Parts: sequence; C-alpha cells; structure tokens
Amino acid sequence: MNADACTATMARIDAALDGDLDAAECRAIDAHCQTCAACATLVGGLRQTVGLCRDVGAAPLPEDVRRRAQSQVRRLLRGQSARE
Amino acid sequence: MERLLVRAQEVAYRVSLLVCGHPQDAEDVMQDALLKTYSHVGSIADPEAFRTWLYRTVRNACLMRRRRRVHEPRGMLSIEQGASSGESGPGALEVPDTAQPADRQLVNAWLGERLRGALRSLPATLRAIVVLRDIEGLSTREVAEITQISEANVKTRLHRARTLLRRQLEDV
Repeated sequence: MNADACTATMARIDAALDGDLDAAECRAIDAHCQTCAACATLVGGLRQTVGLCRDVGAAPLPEDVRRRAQSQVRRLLRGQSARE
Repeated sequence: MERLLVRAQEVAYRVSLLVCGHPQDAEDVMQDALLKTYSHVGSIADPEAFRTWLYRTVRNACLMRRRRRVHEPRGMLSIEQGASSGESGPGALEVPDTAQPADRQLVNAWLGERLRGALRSLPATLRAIVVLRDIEGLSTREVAEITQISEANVKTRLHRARTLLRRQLEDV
C-alpha cells in the first residue's frame, strides 16, 4: 500500500465516478487498485453503488403510477379544452 | 404538452418517494407538480432552466409534506438544516416508515428493498443530494442551484452520501 497513491485515489474517485477524469487518470486509479486491496474494495463498492442508483433512475415507474399520471394529465387537458 | 406534463409528474413522484419515502406524499406531490407545471408551461423558454425549476418546485413540495409529517412547530425548515444535527445518525427531519404494506411492496418491487433501506438510512440532507445527482442524473451545478448550496458543498455531501450508502448496502 502506498499512502500517497491511496490519498490521490480517494481524492479523485468522485470525479472518476462522474466521468470527469481523462482516460490516463482513470487508468492510474485502476493501476493503483490492482496493487492495493483496500482501495480496490472501496472503489469497486462505490462504482456498484453509483451504478445501482443510476439503474433506478433509468427504470420506469410502476405501471399503475404511470397510468395514474397519464389519466390526471388527460383530465386536466380535457377540462382546459372544454373551458376554451 | 401531454408528454411534458406526464414527465413532470414522473419526476415529482420519483423524487418525492426517494427523498421523503412516503407513497401517499409522492401522490400528492405529483398532483401539485402537475398543476404548477401546467401554469408555468407557457413561460418555458430554456429547457435546462425548466428542469431546475421543476426539481426545485418538487423539492419545495416535499419539504412542505415533511414539515407536516414531523409536526415542525415553527418557522421554515430546509432539508439542509438536517445537517446541523450530525450526519452520521438519524437527522432531525427523519420520519418513521409509515408506508402501508401494499405501498411498501410496490416501492420495493420498483426500487429494490436493499436500496430503499439504504437510502432511508441516510440523513435527509445527504439523501436529497444523492437522489438528485446519482438517481436523477442532474449536474453538480444544477443540484447546487436546486438545493441552494455551493457546488463545493454538493461535492462534499455527495462523497459522504455515496460512502455511507456503499457501507449500508454492504451491511444489508
């Protein structure tokens, strides 16, 4: 374990997760993780966590919620056109 | 128009459910968002500004619901104030899980029980940041605008939130 490399990895991990690092910087993190089990665990866990969150954001809402949303919108728009 | 309004409701439902954790509140916030978006829709010029406006509107509606739930006695309270009570334990704004079993089942099926439990364990101040940034996919600048804190503060809180969330997910 190289303490300086660990500190540098932790300082840049959020930028890496957010896609704000260039390829060389990402490779440096990966290279460090191959030699440091503690950072590898942490970085792997954070990647999984953020990936899980992004999957939820991309998943469609339950079907009945979507149906309710759509029918509320249609009711509102129907009411508006009836008033016009 | 119909698509925009449905999309606004979906955002309202998802954010409210994830931040507040109450399916009934999420339904109410969804309804609020529909009416507010409908009245605002004529003045939309910049889609990015509209997005920020929508999330801020939803967040404010969530705050109103939360205040009712926790029976705040006086004054206005922001999600950010939860941070002053300490970020490692339950925040002052934490509310018990009172979702009906059927609602809970529906939410768990969509979100996954593990992630729902882990999100609930985060202090409200951090939960809002991770929901907006990692689940909703907003930029750091947008999250800063919506929550009215600095971008540096968003980054600090996001790191803390991700670290806590990871720990919680590993413990489950």
